[in-house]
Amino acid sequence: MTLPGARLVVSAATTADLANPSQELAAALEFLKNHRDDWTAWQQEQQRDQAIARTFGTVGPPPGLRDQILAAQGAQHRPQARRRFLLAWAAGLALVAGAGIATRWMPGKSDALAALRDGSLAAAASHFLDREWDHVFDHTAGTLDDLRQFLEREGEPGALDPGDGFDRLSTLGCRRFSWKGQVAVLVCFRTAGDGTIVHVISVPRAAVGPEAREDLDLFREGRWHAASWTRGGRAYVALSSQPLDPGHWSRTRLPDGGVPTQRT
Amino acid sequence: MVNPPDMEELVDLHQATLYRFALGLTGSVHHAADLTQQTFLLWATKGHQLRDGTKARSWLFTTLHREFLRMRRHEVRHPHTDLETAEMELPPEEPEVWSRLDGRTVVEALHAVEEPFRPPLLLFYLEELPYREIAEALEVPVGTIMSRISRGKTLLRQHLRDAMSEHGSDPKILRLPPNDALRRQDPMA
Repeated sequence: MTLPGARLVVSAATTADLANPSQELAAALEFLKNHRDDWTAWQQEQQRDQAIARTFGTVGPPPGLRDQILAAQGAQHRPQARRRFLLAWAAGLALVAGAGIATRWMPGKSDALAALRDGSLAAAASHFLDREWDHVFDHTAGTLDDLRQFLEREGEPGALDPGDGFDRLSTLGCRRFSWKGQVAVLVCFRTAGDGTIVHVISVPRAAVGPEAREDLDLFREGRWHAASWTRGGRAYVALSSQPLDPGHWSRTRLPDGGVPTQRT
Repeated sequence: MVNPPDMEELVDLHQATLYRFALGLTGSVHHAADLTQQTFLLWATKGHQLRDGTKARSWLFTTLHREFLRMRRHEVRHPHTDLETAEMELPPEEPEVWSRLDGRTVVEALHAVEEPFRPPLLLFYLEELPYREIAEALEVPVGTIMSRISRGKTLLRQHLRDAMSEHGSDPKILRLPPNDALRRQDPMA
């Protein structure tokens, strides 16, 4: 081994290499030890590399990226999941020759919102997002308008009108559930700038009862930052892993003319 | 043979390092987030083809790098940069200066390192892969990777030193290059 060769091998050695040196690296390290100046210089280089790596390691992804990735992944998997379901369904029919199996997979039969019919909408939504949701949408689209059109085709007109501010946010998709016997619609929005995901659940106002308020109400629900409001004939709850800054929400005019209040 | 991990586990394990890799490549927070997300989306559609779950990490780095190159090809033509012989310049060190670096300074300096040296250098400082796996992830021969890491480290040190001499020895007062300079360096801007 030559001195330049040994320098090259040790200089390129990563932390993982040094923890488990190859024969080549072990030989290079032994070689360099016999060249005192180079050995000292490499040790100094190592200290600098460690400082840079340590500092680089403090740089984290923007808040909400994890949710964004998982939500988008769920949206993309939807067609595949549907195909898999259809295959399984057909195979089940052939084998069992019973129609009962099919009903087990009907939408809305086993979701958490139905199970929590006595709880508040925010609590049910929080429970659902934390434990039940598999990030599969009924429909994926980048704008609220597209989702509205989908819902109208599916017989759910007027299910999505959370406020003009939301029309300017991009969407990932929507999914429907039953809650207290009513259709609940979950829409995932992505805020401009930091890309934070905001989950908005909409139900008929009558399903919410006395907790319905027209003004924007900010509070915490479990690990979520939450907001609720009503608009038209619908009640809405928004949940996000990031604080729902009233200033930001006002800038997006959510809901129109709504004055945020902070629940303690 | 180890089965590939499920999506959520994979995201929890690797999203931070992939994001840092993407941030160093693009120099842009938004492009880095997009590239990271795109990489996981590709995993969602193609990851099942990977039989050996232990290769998932390398697969993700390879895919992110390919996506970066694919996106960049649409944006800009880069002049060819000849590889120089790897060298090990070892001027006297000032350990206390290096230990006071901040994340933003390091990301900017890493991003300023020229293209052929930047991807392996980023993977080197992510401290996840041995250099043979870095070579595998970037689809470059091992010898070339070693040269690029070594040369890249020298270039990075020069960038950090230049910044420090320009603004004094305190890295905290380092400033971003002018916006137009950043845009010029950002192949996807």
